[in-house]
Amino acid sequence: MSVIKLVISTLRFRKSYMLTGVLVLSIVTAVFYFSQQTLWGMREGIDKGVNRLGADIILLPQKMGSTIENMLFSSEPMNVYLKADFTEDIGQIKGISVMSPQFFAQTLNQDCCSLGRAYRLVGFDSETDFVLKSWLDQNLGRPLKADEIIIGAEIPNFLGDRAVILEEQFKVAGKLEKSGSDSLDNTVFMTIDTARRLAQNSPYVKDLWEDGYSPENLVSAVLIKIESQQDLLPVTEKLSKLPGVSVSVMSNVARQAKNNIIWVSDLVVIITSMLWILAVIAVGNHFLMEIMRRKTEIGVIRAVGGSSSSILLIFFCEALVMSMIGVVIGLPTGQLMLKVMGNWMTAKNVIPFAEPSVRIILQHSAASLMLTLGTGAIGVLYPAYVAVRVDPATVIARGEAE
Amino acid sequence: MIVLKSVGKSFRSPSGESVRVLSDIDMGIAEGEMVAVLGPSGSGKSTLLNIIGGLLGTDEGEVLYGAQSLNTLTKKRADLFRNQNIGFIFQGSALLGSLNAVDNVLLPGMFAPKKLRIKNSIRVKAGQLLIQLGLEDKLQYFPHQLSLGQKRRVAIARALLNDPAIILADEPTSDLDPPRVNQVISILQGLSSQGRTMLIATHDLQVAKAADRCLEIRDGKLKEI
Repeated sequence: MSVIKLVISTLRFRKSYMLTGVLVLSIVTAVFYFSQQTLWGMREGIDKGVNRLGADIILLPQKMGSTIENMLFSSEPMNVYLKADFTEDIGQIKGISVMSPQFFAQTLNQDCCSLGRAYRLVGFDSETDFVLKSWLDQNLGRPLKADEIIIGAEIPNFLGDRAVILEEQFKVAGKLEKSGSDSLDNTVFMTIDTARRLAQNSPYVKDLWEDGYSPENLVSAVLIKIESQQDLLPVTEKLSKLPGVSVSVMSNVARQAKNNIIWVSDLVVIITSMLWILAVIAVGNHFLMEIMRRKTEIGVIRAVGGSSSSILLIFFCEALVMSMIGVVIGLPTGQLMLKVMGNWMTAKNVIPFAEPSVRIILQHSAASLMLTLGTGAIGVLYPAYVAVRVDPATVIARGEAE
Repeated sequence: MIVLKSVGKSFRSPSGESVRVLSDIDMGIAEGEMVAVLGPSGSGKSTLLNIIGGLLGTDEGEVLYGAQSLNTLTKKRADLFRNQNIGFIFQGSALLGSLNAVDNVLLPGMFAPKKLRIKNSIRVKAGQLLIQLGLEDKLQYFPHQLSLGQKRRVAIARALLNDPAIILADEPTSDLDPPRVNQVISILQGLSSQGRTMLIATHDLQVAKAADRCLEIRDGKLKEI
């Protein structure tokens, strides 16, 4: 018989002792894993939302509901428009490398469309676009045609490669790879001319712009790249003077967005730390109570020749086994919690949230494993010391081991 | 084989007073001898056994096994000495509830030096010991499934696993009905006839009669009767 067999026999025999320990340690795993993934998902969601466009500056209409955060971090339809005249003025500003206009519309949850809910439609200018250019070059090798669309990774699959949007049939030219950014993964892309024409002709979306305007003369956003050696400040100053335009510098947006969620990060860290401290105390108390109950058993082991290190080894192994089972239960639980919260955050647009890659999941799982093993080891430290100090003669005289 | 020289032991009572349990104990037990220690409850019989078994230290005096003084052994060496040379039979059997009969018997083997832990043979030996003690149909039984007499026999088998030269038995017949008492006594006599040195703390005169020699502890002093 080995220590491991003794430990397993003990844990199988003392079910409530094992289950309580496993419960606490699985909560530790689940909460720590969930916290790590949440913090990572929020930060990465912001970075991906900001960086995926590749723009240095984005111009939006100065209107209600047209915040840069809405555009970057959510996939909700964003029907905001501005007369396109000002784009000619942008061309005059020195230091701008590329300027690409976009026109937004939306799908509808109606008979007119293949999709189950309202998604953002983004019409991009094939000549100036730098958001989808590399994807198009690699996957199509040609510009997108007027009757084609590209869909984000999270858009439900259509039947075959056809989709009906606002009563018009399109060919699905491709599906983007999952980016972790909601605004990219849940958006339908088409050429800007198609988007304008679709909007112009559809009775469903004609109320989106003011009377007297036509989609042909409107833009929803302008994405700008500046020349590599150009200082941002003078460009933004000039852009800010354009009437009715809100200027957003991407690096500032990312910083601001991270500042906005810093309280959430702090809260997650504080709650997780407090829970961890409580868990260490709970695990310690659990083992201590168990050792009090098993003093006679410890005495018998000492009497038959078990050394202090044997006693330490037995209780550390019990903590190790409980921790391992806790990890096995805690990781899927944490992943489930994350899925529920991620879906909720995405649905409510509370905070941008990126889904982690397999590599990140493995990294966070490994960190959770280490923390749980550490919790078990720290928790059992003092109780094991108490166990080693048990006087075998006294405890054997007092009671039965059984 | 075992020699005690001027051994004394005190305990602190709950009120903080020092209570002298053993005082100036001198005794010797020859190899293969079966000695019974009698005395009223609380007289210090178990304390004497625990001191001889190395579970308790002495306040004064010395315990010798041949030329080896128990007092001079390090903790680790004392654990090993106990594992290899002494078999304990406790008053309440003190079996581990989570282990079946065979695994309870195997417990001392778990702490034996690695070179002596030959997995299969030691398991066979544990089974043989239980069979010799009439428990052939109870090998896989857990303590809660065994009667008091059966538990006591498992405890005896456990004490014998590492072939110890010395058996220390604390009230080995307590709580047993007369037929079981006779069975345990005959087992102990059998062990003695195999040349094992035995020291038995008991109230039971039947056990005392079976011993080669009887000692009595009264007021902390040991005397031959």
